[in-house]
Amino acid sequence: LVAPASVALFGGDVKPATTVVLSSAEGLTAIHWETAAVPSRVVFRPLAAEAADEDRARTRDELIRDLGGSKVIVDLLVAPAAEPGGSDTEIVFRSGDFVSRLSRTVLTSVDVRDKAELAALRAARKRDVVLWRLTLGCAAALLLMALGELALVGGHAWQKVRVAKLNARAPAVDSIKQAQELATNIQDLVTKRFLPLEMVTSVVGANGDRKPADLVITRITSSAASGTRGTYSLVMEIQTTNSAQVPVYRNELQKLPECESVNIEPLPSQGDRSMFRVTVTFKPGALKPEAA
Amino acid sequence: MIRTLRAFFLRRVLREKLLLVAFLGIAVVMWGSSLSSRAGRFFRAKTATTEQLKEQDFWLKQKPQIEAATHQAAAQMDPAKTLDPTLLLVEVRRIANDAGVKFNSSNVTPGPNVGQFSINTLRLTVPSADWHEFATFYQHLQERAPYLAITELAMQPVRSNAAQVTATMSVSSFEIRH
Repeated sequence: LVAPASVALFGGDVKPATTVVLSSAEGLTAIHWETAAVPSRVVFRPLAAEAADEDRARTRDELIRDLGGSKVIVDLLVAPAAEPGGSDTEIVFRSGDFVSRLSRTVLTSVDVRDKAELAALRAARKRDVVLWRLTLGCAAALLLMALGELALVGGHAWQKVRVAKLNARAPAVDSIKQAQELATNIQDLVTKRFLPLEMVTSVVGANGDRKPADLVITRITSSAASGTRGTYSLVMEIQTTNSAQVPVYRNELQKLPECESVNIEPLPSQGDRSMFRVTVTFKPGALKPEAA
Repeated sequence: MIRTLRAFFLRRVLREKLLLVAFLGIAVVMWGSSLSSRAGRFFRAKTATTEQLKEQDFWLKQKPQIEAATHQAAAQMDPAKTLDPTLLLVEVRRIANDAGVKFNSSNVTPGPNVGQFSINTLRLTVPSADWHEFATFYQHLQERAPYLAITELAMQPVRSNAAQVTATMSVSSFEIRH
């Protein structure tokens, strides 16, 4: 800021009818407030550098008399100085106990320097403030991450305890699961009969007359280990040179009262023979064991 | 302190300010990336462990009911008719001989022991068996249910003789040890 020193005192918190007299080597400056809002008059009286104290006192009295109506008079012997590290919106000046706060907008307008230069300075300051805020943001983020690291270390220690508990309980839990599986298997042995040959007889017919002669069964599999569906399901691999017979066979199987569903999916063909996988699922309990 | 640092920062030349911001920014990105990756792994592990602990709690709470169900299910069996691994092999061989069927078998696989109970499994292959003999063998095995049970069967016809099949099967037995 480049401006008369007295300007720095314009933001003083004063009562109405107050006069501030600022003493300097060049002379005396009197600032008068009729109301508390803004100064109403500023008067300067030059003094010679070698002026005696009596001359200074006399000039001061003349100044106050000229201004008139002063109820409070404040004498300042040192020039106001800006306090460091103020906010971005105002600057605080101090001269002895007298404090003056001026907004940057006001100060910009009273600055006597070239306006273009001032604009460049303002832009540089804005940029610097942005950089400072970025720096602060980064520092805050680093601090948060340090806290995060500490939390993670604590979390790992907690997790270690939990994993130890998990491992300690695993054998007991495994034996309970095995007991459950065993109970299910025993129940299945007693109540759910796995009848793979009866399923084969059902799909090919007692004398092999249900299956069209053009269809050749190359493999049949069934497994009770595949769960409830497996207990009642049969998978056949079929090859044929007459693919038209496959839907006929499917319709034939679907008509069976014990049959729940038939699913046919094509497999890669071998030469002129088409291959299919036929999955037949039976209704639980619909098949009865064959007598020996 | 912040005011002092701010004043110090603002007094630096632009190059120094930019360098400081750049270094701090790079540090934030690198550390942040590493931390978020490790935190993600930690939270996934934590969630998985929580789920596993919940599952363990469930099973441990169910223990009395499951043990009661196992004993109740086993009570339906006559302990004298249950078969250990050796008896399973002997019994299946006897039934096969009676039906005129030959088979190749690997060893009996004993199931996990749950108290005094277990289920043993014999995997066997019947090569090129006459269909009627195989059916008899199958039916005699079924007659021994539930002490003997076929749990898996795969068959395919013998190409050179349509009246014969090759079968692979698993036969299980329930065992109660005294």
